[in-house]
Amino acid sequence: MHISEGVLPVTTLALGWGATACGLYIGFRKLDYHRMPFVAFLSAVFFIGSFVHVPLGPTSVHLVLNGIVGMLLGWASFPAMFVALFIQALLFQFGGLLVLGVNTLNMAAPAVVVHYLFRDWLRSGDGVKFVLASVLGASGAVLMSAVMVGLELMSCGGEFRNAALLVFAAHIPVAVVEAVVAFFVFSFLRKSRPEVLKEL
Amino acid sequence: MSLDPRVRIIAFFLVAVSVALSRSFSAVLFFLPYLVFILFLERVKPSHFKKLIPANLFLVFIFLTVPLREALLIFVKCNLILSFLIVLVSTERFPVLIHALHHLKLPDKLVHLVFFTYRYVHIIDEEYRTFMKAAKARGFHPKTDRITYKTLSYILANLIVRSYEKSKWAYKSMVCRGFHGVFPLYYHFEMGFKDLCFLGFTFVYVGALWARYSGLKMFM
Repeated sequence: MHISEGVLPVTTLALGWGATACGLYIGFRKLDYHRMPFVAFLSAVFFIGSFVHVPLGPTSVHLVLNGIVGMLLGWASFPAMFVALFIQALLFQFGGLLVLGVNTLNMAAPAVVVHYLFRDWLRSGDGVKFVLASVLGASGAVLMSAVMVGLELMSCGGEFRNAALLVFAAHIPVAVVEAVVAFFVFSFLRKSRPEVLKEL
Repeated sequence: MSLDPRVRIIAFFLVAVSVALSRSFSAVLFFLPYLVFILFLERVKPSHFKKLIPANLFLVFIFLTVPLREALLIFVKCNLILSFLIVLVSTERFPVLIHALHHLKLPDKLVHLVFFTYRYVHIIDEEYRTFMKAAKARGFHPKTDRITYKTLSYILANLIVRSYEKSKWAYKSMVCRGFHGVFPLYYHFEMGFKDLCFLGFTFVYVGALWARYSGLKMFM
């Protein structure tokens, strides 16, 4: 969920940009040119992922993918998601340029967290650990993002409390769908291209 | 009128930051004449503004929960900033914008990553469409069941696998062509008289607003 332009107060926007700038600095320092095409491709997958609609009962939800892509990228999530959101903001006016800092932070910070929490479990041969890593990593990243969006909305003032709760509630079905998708995606990768997971 | 892309980006940031900082209707509506002025200069097609509709979906949450006056202010601010984005920035071709970002001294790696990603979004989009077409041809009909989730996930996993393989080839072909961290540029921007006029006008306009609301008072 991207926060729209003009909603958040200046301090929150500035803090978001500051944190994202730090993340970008670390991300780019760790990113060599030989890995850049891969990061750019995964950034493109993250971009297209928000157009994949998964049916859920009478409605459908669109994938967030910050957990799935984030677990593969680590600190490179910051550059990858920043660029994807930047292009989405310019081409489709999703989110916007001033809230880009906050929106990148919401997507990429949970991605870095789940990458370091579950990286080892995802690579291990143990089946139970592998399933737990993919399910908890993907849904955890989505829920963390939802909490961050909620907190940022609360920073606008007390009357945004209900909006924050509503946004969080809307993310719960997304987290469930994302967990199922992550399980299938990582099982497929483990079966057909284990080297993608080995390089984490 | 074709303005220098660098001037467009700078003007957008000046205006957009000012709108985002404003806390009153009068300050926000002060920028409406400026928008009309650019519309008149640029002759933007009305169809470009269709993009505003999905952007407003997030605001439904706000309208449901926040007092009406506050919600209306947010609605006006959001759509005004996005309109400026459309008329000033999005009308320019994307590769030209990336070039302009390079000249505005953004870090090289960031500019390169934007360039690569923009290129690869089209490749991945094409792959995704091909996979979906293949699935549909085999009678795939999305429902809430195991087979749908499995199919969509495997398509996604295949996109990741393709990314992994293509990125290896892409890097190798870059090295073969002598890539060492620099893309040579053969075309340079030139800032003309009309660009300077436009930039000056924007500065004066934004400055007038700041003066009228006596500096920081308008943010309180």
